[in-house]
Amino acid sequence: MKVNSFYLYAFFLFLLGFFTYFYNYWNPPKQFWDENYHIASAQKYIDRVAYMEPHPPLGKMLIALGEALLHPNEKIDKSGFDRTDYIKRFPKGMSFAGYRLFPALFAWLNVILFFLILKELVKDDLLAFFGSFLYLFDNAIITHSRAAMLESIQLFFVFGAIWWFVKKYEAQKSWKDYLILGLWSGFAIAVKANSAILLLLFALWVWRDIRQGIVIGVVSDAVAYVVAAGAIFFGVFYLHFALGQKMPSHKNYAISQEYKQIIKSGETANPAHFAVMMRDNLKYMSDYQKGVPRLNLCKKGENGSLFIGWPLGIKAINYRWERHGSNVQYIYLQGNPVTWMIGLIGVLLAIVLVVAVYIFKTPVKNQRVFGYITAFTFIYISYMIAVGQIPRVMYLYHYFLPLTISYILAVLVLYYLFEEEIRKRDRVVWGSIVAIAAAIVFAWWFYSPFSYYKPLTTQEFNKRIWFEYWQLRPVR
Amino acid sequence: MSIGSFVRFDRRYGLVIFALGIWIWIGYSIYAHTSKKIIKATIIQSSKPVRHIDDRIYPQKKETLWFDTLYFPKGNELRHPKYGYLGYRQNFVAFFDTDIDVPKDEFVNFVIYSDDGFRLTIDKQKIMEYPKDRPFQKSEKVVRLAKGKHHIHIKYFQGYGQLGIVGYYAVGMSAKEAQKARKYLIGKSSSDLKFLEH
Repeated sequence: MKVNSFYLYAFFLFLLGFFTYFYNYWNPPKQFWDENYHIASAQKYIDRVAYMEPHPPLGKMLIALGEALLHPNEKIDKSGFDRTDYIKRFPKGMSFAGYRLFPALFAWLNVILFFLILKELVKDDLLAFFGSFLYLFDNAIITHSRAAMLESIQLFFVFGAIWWFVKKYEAQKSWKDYLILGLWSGFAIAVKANSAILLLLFALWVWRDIRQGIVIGVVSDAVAYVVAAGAIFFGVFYLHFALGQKMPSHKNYAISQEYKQIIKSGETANPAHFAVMMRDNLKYMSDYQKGVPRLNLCKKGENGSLFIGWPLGIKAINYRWERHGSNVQYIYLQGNPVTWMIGLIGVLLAIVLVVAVYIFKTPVKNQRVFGYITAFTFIYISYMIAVGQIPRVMYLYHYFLPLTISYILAVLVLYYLFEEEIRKRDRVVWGSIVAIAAAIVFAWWFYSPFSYYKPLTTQEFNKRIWFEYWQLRPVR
Repeated sequence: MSIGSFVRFDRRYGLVIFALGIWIWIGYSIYAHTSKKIIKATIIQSSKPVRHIDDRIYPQKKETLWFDTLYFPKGNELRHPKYGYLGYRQNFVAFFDTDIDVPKDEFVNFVIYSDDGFRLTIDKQKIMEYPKDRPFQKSEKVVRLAKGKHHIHIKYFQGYGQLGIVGYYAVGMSAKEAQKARKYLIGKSSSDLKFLEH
């Protein structure tokens, strides 16, 4: 029986993804970065305590679901989590296996989704396989995803939306296709608001349809998209309200008297009160964002960074460290320099190509691939411009979304430039692709102590400071 | 290579060059940030002010690192080109130890720029020092070294403000010649003086 190479590659990636993203994800059994916030929020769902938060609720709901499914902390008193938004001290012996389950699981599944996206784009299983290494071996995404945080869950729905967008891009689409795109987008936005960039996928679909003369049905398509995205977004909020059946004891958030009355009467699941609760939540989200400090590069120990430096990896963040004699274990948000560099080159070449075609009228070799390059370049630039307008402090992981777009662009540009050779299995080109893939794996291994909390001496740490501007600093 | 032959360049090799470039970049980056074990530096952070080379140190933190050159340029924080910033800003001392092999009897001119003070000893004999605080300034001394192995020990202290220590040496057959000879960073071997790797 001949096994389809697609399934073979997918299985192999799935296996590799298990080891890079999922294996041992519950270690270290110590909190880092925003887990103090997200676990406090997640526990409130488990204990049915109402709360408000700047991010939409889906990510924290899934974090809570992991804990509820695995319940590894049954004998531990976590009631204190309900009385704070930021857990200062976690109970001794607490396991993180539950809270981190879905972020790590989604991050693992993302390997396959990313492979599917590339497969749809280049229609070459082997190139999609090697292209997937860009996500599979990215130390920064790995580090951040193996924790009770939101970005890997967000990326799952973002990848889902991109996959569906690409899969149906050239096909004649019905309103049902728009509806499915709306569902993916709605889920992503229900995790983090910056997923709203996915609205561009919808716009690109409509734009393509209009250019092809398909005007009839645009309104119904738009309605299907908006209704689906809205249904998910508000549906998630409805669930959020329904689960918040007790008044929080430590803080009032922006809970109005009306909302208090709704909680008191046990009516939070009543759709009739949805508007009041939604209004209060939106007010809190807006007020919270206004209160987040701005980036202050003069502040000692500032972890935030300017969006313009993100493509270069500025700046790394020390999430957690622990000293053992002369060795120090780290959880450090530091990208794989090879994948990040390839992503950046992919973006730059894509911009050059698009400019060359539209301004200098360079002939297009492959209209289909060029169309995708233009679309993803547009999304990348749009995200960076949008994020540049945000006054609050932002961090390197806010670049994950455009980073993965840059990986897609890198594979597309490679395919655009060497399509013929790739199809003919030219040894020189494929030898180079394998050599690049091997470099990605090597760099992942070299930087893996930062992702997996492996001890390093100062000397070993210093070998990894390839660029001063990353601001990687060993603990002394 | 004519323009015509450039146009005929097989673009597949562009990808080969790119792949090779990545590996060269990785190799170079690791090599450039891997220091040879030539100068052993013991750095002690003091919890109380240090204003003189012989001031008592109240150790708060102590660490040992290896460097290939005595090159910590002027700045606000101790920094080495291979390692970047080291986290030391004020009130610390550093002991630099290294061994050299001199192939024949010769004169060696030692030049130390420091902010603040330092003391240079060779085979436990004091050669030169600047014991107090000062801005980044030069001290110089020619010594005659007999053929064979010698141990160089430099004690450096930083009080407050700017800091830095950079050391050079130059070799000659006479004191005058040594003063005019080409200077090398302490840690970098030359044909007339070899630093021993540990």
